[in-house]
Parts: sequence; structure tokens; C-alpha cells
Amino acid sequence: MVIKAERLTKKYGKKLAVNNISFQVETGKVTGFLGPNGAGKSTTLRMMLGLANGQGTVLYNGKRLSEYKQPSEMVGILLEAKAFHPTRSARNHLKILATEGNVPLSRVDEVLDIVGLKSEAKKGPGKFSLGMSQRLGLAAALLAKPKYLLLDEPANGLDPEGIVWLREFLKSYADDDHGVFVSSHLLSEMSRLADNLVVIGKGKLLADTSMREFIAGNVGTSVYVRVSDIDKLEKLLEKQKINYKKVNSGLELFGVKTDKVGKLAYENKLTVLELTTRTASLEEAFLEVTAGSEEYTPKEVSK
Amino acid sequence: MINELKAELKKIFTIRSTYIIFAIMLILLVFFGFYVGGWHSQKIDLLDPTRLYRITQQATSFLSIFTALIGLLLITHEFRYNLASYSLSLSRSRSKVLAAKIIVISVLALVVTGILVVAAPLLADWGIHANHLKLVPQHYYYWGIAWKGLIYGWGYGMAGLVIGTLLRNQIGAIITLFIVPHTVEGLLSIWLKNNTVYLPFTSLDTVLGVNESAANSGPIITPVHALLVFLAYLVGAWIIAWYLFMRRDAA
Repeated sequence: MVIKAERLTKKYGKKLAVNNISFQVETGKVTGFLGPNGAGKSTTLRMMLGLANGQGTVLYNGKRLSEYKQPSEMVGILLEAKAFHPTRSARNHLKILATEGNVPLSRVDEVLDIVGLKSEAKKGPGKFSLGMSQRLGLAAALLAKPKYLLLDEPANGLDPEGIVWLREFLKSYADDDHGVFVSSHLLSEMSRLADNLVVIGKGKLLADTSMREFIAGNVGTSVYVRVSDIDKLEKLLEKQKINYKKVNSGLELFGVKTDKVGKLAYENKLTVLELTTRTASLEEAFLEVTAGSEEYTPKEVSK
Repeated sequence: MINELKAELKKIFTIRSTYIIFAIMLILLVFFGFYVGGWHSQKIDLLDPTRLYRITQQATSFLSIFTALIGLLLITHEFRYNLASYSLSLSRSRSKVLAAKIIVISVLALVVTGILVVAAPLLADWGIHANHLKLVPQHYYYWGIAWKGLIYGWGYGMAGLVIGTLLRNQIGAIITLFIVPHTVEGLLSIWLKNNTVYLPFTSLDTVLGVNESAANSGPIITPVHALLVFLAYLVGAWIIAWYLFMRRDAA
């Protein structure tokens, strides 16, 4: 049970926005969709829904979305938080979407309750905060209890409690044999949410792998050590051809494990003050992978 | 298709602008029918045996722009508020979405124009009697005004919808709707002279008969021929609009 996107390509004039990318979104997992600004994430999501024309195919469990009698049962979308008419009440907005998707109208109040907007149902969403708008967008995505959720930056504007709630909700939704494909710039949040990652830069696929493999494969782990005589340790490391760099008052070592470093220090009578394994963050791995793929590079901040 | 039709109807009747447009339309209808056409009638008007017919013609001509505006807003809201991403991904076919809009606006335009055609002469008659004026016996061409009025209202509804579909930009579409029928076609008439009746909105005016004086000075085309001219433009515009609706990205 997968969404299979194959050879997606989209041009805007001469610019190649999406360049022949293929990936999968599995059920039972949350797949994160990462890329720098202008990488082509939103265009890719739109292509997956047939909203942007281009080349390539997207199959939902083996069939095109338009081949399903009720596409709404296959995919729920949140592409833009403010995709509503400002004076049409939240409830009426969802009623229209329910009608279009052949969903019973009773489901409208259920989803408003799920996202915590039941008390605001009669209000026009024009004055909703970004966080409330995101919740309404999520309610719209959930209307038909779809097999897959495609969400573009759903955590934008949510308060901390909202972010935690969203994470838990999406995880449990995926656990219930649904597929969740979610783009976000909040990398720390993504690292806690996603099982798999699809990373693109300048329209090209940079990675399609599990979160663990992505981090380990691109930055890996390192060992941080502080000893009584750092110069002596440096000489030993050079002798043994172990890569390292100075970090604060210690050294960060690459390609070794803590037991080897401990043993080396012990045999050379160095007092170990600190010895830890450092796991790289998603942010580090992301920056490593997307280096040079940024569409917009800001001027460096002078210190 | 039923779902699409229901959804389009709900879209029209769940936004404030629809009710504002209807309210303005109603106020203008009462003002135009009761006051201008009835209460405030000049003596010479009261001697016109086609007075009520003319009032109905003019009210239909003047107020049909509002049904066009509802049609225009129905499609341009989709793009202004990015609702198209829902409409087009929830439906199996873009054609169905567009067809539903055409059907709903057609029905709405016919109902609204039907009410106009009935209410305008009644309001005028009421205004005349309320001001204790006496109108000469009237020749009211019921079927003539019925089919011409309904075609005219429907034509404007379709024009609003097709302009909105072609341009997608709400402000640009509204400006186009307001300036093309009279300003642009008016300016073109300086160059086209008698052939102005072959322009789309002028031909629609010819169907209703509101530009009879102009038509009398040029080549005469019957309302049926004028209708065919207008339909030719409309079909052409819809072919382009349909193609673009199918091919263009939804945002």
C-alpha cells in the first residue's frame, strides 16, 4: 500500500522546478518531505494531486487518483492554511468540501471536534490566526478519513501544545495503517515525527530513505572527548590516523567508538574528563545533504 | 455530478457577497420599478401603450449585470482563495466541476431574471397607482419579454462565468465585465458603425431590444439572429475557457 510517484518533472518556462524525481509514501509510516525554500516541494505535492500539470505518474495503491470513484477517500490535503473564503463559516466551508467529497455532513462536526475548533464553527475563518487556520485545513483533510494525508507545512503557526498534538495525531493516524506525507521546515519536529524522509533540492531528489539511515549516512556519529592533556591526545590521534576536530575544550573524533578512545587514553595515562557519543541531528544531516542546493542564499551574518 | 451541483449551490449561498448583491439588486429593482417606472412617470410615458414592457426591458438590461457578477465570483473565488485545490482534487474530473458551475449559474440566472421580468412591471404598475396616475391600456408581450429577458439574464450570467474562467483574477475579471459591454463596445461602435450589432454584448442587447433605436439606423438583425451571434461568441469563449481550465495549473 503505497503512493508511488515516478519520474515527476515540471517546468516553469525554462526553469526546471521538479526534475525527474521518484519516491514512495508508505502506509503505516510518516514520511517527511524536506527541501530548502524553492526546492519544488509544493509543486511536487500539487503534481501528486493533479493540480499542477507536468510529466510523470503518481499511483495511489496502483491507480491514478482520478480512477477512484471517491478520490477524497484516498487522499486528504492541506496545501495552504488560508485556503478558505473568509466570510464563509468554518462549518459551511467543511460542509461544501464534504458534499464535494461525498462525505456525510455529520462528519463535519466530528472533524471540528478532533482539531479543537468546534466552538469556532459558526465564525468566518477570515479572522482566524494562522494556527487556527491550520487546524481548519487539517479538519478538511480528515473529512473522508482518507488513506493518505498530504500536508504542506501543517505545523506552521501552531503553538507548542498544538505542535505536540499534531505530532501525536499524525503518528497515531499513520499507525492506523494510513500514510502521512508531510513537508515542514521545523527539522527538530520532523526528526521526532517522521519515519522516512524524502529530500529534494533544486527540484532534484537528494534522498529517499529512513530517518535513521539519512542521518547516519550523511553525518554519522562522532565521539566527543575531554582529557587532562589534549595536545598529547592530538598527537596520538594523528599517529593512529583518526580524524578529529577541536570543539571547545575537547576534541570531536570521527570513525571511532568510545571504547577505543577510552582504551587509548588509559594506555597513555591520560585522565578522561568527558567521553560521549554524539549523534548528529537531522538539521546537520539536512544541511550536509542540501549544501549547494539552496535556491536562495542569504548573505552571511558578520560576527 | 449531483455532489458537484450541490456543492456549487452551497458555495453561492454561504457567502456574504451573494446576499449583498441580491440586496443591492432588490433595492435597485424597487427603485427602478416602483419609483422611476411608476411613481415618477412623466405624462408622456403614461400615454405609451408599451410602457410596462419597456420598464421590464430596461430593468432586465440594467440588473442582469448582477447575475453576471455572481457567476464571476463563483469561479474567481476558487482561485483567489485557493479553493480550487480542494474542488479539483476532490472531484474525478475538472470538466464536471466546470459543468456544475455552468448549470448552477444558468439556473440561478434564469430564476433571478424570471423574478425580474415578473416583478418589474408589477412594481411599476403599483407605483403608478400609488401616485394616483393613470396609465393607458397596455400591450404587454408576455412571451416575447419572457424568452428575451430569460435569454438576456442567462447570457449575462454565462458571460460573467466565462470571463472569470478565462481571467481567473477577480479584480481583472470584474473590470472586464464592467467595461467591455458598454465602454469597449461603445468605442468599437465608432469604428464598426452599423456592424456593432455583431459584437457580443450589443447582440445580446439586440435580443432584448434595448438598443432598438441604434439598430433601426443600421442593418437590422432579428432577435433570433442576434441570439445566434451571441451564442457563437459564447461557444467560442467557452471552448477556450474549458481548454484552459483543463490545462492550467490550479493555482
